[in-house]
Amino acid sequence: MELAEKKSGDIIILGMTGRLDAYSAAEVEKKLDSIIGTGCPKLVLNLEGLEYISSSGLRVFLSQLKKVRKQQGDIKLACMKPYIREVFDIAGFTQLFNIFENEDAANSSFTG
Amino acid sequence: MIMPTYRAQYRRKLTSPDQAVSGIKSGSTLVHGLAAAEPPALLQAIADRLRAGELTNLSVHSLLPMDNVAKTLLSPDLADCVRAFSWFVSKSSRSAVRVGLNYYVPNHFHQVPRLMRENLDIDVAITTVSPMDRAGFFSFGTANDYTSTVARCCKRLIVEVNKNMPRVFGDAHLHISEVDAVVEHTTPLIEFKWPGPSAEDGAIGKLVAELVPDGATLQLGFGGLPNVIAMKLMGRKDLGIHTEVFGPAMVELIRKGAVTGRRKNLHPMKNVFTVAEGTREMYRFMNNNPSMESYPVSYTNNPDVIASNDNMVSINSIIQVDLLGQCNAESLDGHEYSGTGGQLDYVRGAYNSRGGKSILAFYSTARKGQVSRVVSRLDSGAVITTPRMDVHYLATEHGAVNLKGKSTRERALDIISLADPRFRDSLLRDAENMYLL
Repeated sequence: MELAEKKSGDIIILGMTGRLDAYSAAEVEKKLDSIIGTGCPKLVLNLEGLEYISSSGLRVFLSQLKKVRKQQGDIKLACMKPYIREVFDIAGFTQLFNIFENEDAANSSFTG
Repeated sequence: MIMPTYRAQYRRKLTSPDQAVSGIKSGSTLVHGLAAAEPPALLQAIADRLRAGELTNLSVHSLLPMDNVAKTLLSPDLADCVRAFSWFVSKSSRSAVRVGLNYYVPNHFHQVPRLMRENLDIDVAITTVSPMDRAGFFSFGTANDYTSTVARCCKRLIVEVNKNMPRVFGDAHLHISEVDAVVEHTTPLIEFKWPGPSAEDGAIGKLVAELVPDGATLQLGFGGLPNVIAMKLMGRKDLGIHTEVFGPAMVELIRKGAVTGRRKNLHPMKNVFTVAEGTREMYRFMNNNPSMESYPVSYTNNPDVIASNDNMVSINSIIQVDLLGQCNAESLDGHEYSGTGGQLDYVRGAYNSRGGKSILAFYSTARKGQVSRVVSRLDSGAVITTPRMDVHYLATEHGAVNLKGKSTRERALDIISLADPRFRDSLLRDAENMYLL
């Protein structure tokens, strides 16, 4: 799993490439913890390169979403592949997350 | 009039749902009552604690989870703090099982009480019961199954008393002295309704009904088709009931006089079941009715117990059968769709009964006639629920066949005769290519 972090104003954008599974979930959780720990409640996850997500990955996303929302922030998801979107649909997670077609739309939603 | 000592115990244990679940610790293992016995107030109180962040890493064991659990402990927003297990997959858990947020536990239903007792360290059990009687007993009502076992091997038992839960007989009672906390919450029980019969239902029902003699003891599986078959048995005499699931069609058989239970060897005159799933009217019929006896599933579904009644006829449904006679009743498109449940328990028990029959009934096609349920080979990833050695009768709208004692050639030909005529030529070709003919 490759993670690429960048900033746009007060928004942190984290790009994910590869498989988010039982092996990589801890690494992603650690990374998200460190970002959220700095007090940045505005996060966009660019999932364009995400090829697979397991139940461990879904659980990490959900627990981090709860953490960030406690700080009045949010995690927005962008650029999901159809397969990833399908997994989110089946899991009932599309009702929990704000999901956008692209990174710009996700970024704008924080200011809009 | 409730005996004063039991009334005092009841009052001492009576509390609010929030208070009753306040002692549940993170990391606990919880088992809840099945289907209509899901206790909504307790489930809501636990979900409130999970949502408030007071409780996490809760292991939840369900069998056929229904709405009350789906809306609370199995809600997607709690997937990070609940480890969910389904011992039989339902509409409420199917999606989560498919993406690994809920784990199916393979089992034969009659072994579930033992499996839970020996393999789970159960911290909390919660279930709905009927109101306490004058001798201090609640009734497990619609859900005896594994609940009665779990109630006695958990560390803390909390019951939700619902006046709509029927009081039934048999080995179905729980004493106030066995209970740690009581909450009262009267609400309508979950109801199970099936769509009306289709044209295929009528044909299958007629064929299967012809296999059921007067005096037979019946087990009917869960779902629409077994209920339709029951409706075709209204003209029979002295039928009996020894079943896993008691359903509305059985009430009709009793009311119309087709079921008397007079010729049963075991529990004559009694309707024996372990789970009841039906309508409000059915629950009323069951309440305080001495003919309604429920027992743990380790008893009702024990193949040796099932075989104790002569002329035992079990009727269940399947999803697919291949040309070898292997039956899949639980997986669809490579995913766990339902579960083994008690199918094999009754297939084996009924065949071992003197004069008994096990019948697996199914529609010959699916997806509006586009897909044959009779297939050359089971789908990739499909599960064999009933092995070919155990299959006795198979029935579709095109006929009924008995596979016992038949060669692979005879079986293949019999099974192909059950397929929709549009698929038979290709199935015959496949059978030849498999050197079955």
